[in-house]
Amino acid sequence: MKTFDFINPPNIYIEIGQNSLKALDGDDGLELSLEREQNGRLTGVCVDNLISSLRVFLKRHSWRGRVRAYCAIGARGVSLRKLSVPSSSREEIDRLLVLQIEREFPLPPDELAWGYRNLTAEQPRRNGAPTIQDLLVVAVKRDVIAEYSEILSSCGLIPMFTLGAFARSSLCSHPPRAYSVLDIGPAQSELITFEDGVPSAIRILPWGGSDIEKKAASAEPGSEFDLLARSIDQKSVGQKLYLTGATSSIEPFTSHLARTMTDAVQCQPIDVVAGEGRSAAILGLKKLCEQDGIAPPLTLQLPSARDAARINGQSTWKWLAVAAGLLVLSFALRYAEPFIQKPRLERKLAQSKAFREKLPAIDRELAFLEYLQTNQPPYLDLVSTIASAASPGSRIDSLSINRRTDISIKASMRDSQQVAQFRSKLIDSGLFSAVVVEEQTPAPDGQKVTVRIVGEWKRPAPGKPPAKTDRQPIANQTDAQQSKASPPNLNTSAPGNTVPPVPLPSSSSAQPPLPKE
Amino acid sequence: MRTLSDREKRIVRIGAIFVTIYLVVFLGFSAWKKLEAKRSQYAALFADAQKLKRELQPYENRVLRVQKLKDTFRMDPQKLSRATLVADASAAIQKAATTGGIKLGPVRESPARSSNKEIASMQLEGTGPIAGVLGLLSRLESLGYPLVVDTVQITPQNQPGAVKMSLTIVILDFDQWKNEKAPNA
Repeated sequence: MKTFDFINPPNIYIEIGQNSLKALDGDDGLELSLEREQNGRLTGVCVDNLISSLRVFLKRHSWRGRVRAYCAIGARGVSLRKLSVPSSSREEIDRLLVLQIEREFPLPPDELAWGYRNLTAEQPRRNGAPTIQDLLVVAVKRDVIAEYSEILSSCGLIPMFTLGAFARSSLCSHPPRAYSVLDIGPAQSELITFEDGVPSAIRILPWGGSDIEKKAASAEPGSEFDLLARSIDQKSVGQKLYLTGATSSIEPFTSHLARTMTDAVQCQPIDVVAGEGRSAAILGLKKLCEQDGIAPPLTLQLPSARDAARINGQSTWKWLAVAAGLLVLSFALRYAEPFIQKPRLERKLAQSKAFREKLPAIDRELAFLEYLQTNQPPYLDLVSTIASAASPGSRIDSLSINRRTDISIKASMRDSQQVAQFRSKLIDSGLFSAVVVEEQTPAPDGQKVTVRIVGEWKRPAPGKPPAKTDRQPIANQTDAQQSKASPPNLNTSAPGNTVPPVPLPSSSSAQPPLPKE
Repeated sequence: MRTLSDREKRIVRIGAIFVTIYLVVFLGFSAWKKLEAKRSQYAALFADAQKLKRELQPYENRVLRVQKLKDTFRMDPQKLSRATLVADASAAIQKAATTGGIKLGPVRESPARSSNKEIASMQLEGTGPIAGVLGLLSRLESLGYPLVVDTVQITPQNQPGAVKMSLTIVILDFDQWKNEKAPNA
């Protein structure tokens, strides 16, 4: 198998005769017998068998796509004409030929499958009278080809039909100017005559290999062979008669034929490799397509196939148009974005700009609120700390705090040791940066010491938790709850201590912020 | 109308092809230039949008912070009316004090220094339980007005558990912030 067989699969060659169908796919061959009705059409059973057998035969290479099948058909019912038409384009020739066929053939063109071969060499157009083209037209009843075409198409093949007699002639090596090819089949024979390489006549001879074998078995085979040989007109045979078919089994007849021919006519059998699915027509087709690299010079086409070819051409243009459209679309996509996205982008930009207009207000609000937050002194923390620091028996006579960090306390305590402890506790709380006992005066009775303390409270650093105090969180206390709240150390006892219980401040003031100007 | 011959049809076809090529080449070129201009405009607009987006990105945090502070102070500075601010704030403070069981004494208002962006200062004196006084100090923050307690003075009274308080409260003037130049982003 060639590497790219799946891209360009090898062709299949088929010969459809009167009684058999032979197929060759590479080296695989198939031979099926055909059953026909009285009118020559294949029977329904035969068609079903053919389809199923061919499918099985082709399934071995199911990975292939649709494969082209070159089919050689027999000469029965085939008409051969030489027609002349004015030199013109291929489409014009098709149109003209339809008219010619209508005149020359017994059936209208719509009922024929026909093909033609140009017999005139291509010449440049000359001025003046139009050039005449000679064409060889071959036609057969449409139904014959349509039936075969339907069977082969249903097997996934693309059939192309030609005459088996044309295909056999390609096996003739170095043919003379005029020659004939006689294919001896089992029940009938085909004789085709060529002049200057162009088929001039095609005949069906009503005898075949089985008749010859019967004649050979008779008492006087020579005279019987003469009767058969006389059906071949020696004058029209040309210079050489090529013999194909079962020539080995009828060798006595072929020898007799060679002897009876005039000296001007040579008789030469064509050796064909024997095997299933192999015949002179199939091998001739294969030689044409594979060795010579050309398609059969004349193919028979149904009218619908001609329309399909034209439609195929149109669909090619359609695909080209689609491809061009896609190309334009891919180019246009580059420019489509501005048209699609620009309105949305402009709208969003306008919204963003409107928001930006509000930014100064947001900045001012933030500055104002931050100023407000950072300028709230932590009065409740300070009061709580002082209450905690006061020892039993102490009395705070006045407490004054301002937001410029000044604090002033006037109190009376039992002795100077309590004063020292009070000051130490205030400093240890971390809320005070300086605590100064401005005045410490013992009372005349010596029972008390009156002190005046001044100091500075300290603002905590941003993000730093407030100084540790003994107070508990009782935020959002109601008045009733507040009245029940147990006081901190400030009045733990001492009679005469007039400082009332100090409720703890709400948690919101627990973290005094840093002042910000 | 006369039917065109093949030759005439071919001439018409070729002519149509040439006209199409002419239109494609010349009109197509000018159309392409216009499209390119439109595309470059869009690219510029897109770059502007990206720049603006980067510019506005830091403000997302600021907006959130402003909202949080507004919630804390229960106040929208934009809605404060300068004309009635002092009166409203004074009424709210007195109401809060009374609610806390404080018996208010003299209340004095005086215009504050504008250099400090203050609109007025108030001096309140009152007597009440220490819990009420400290509760008032706590509630002043969330009264919905820009109040800063300047000084606190607490002195005990003769009645047990009662104290005399003297507060100096400053009312801030947001209008003076409005007139300020906005800080850079």
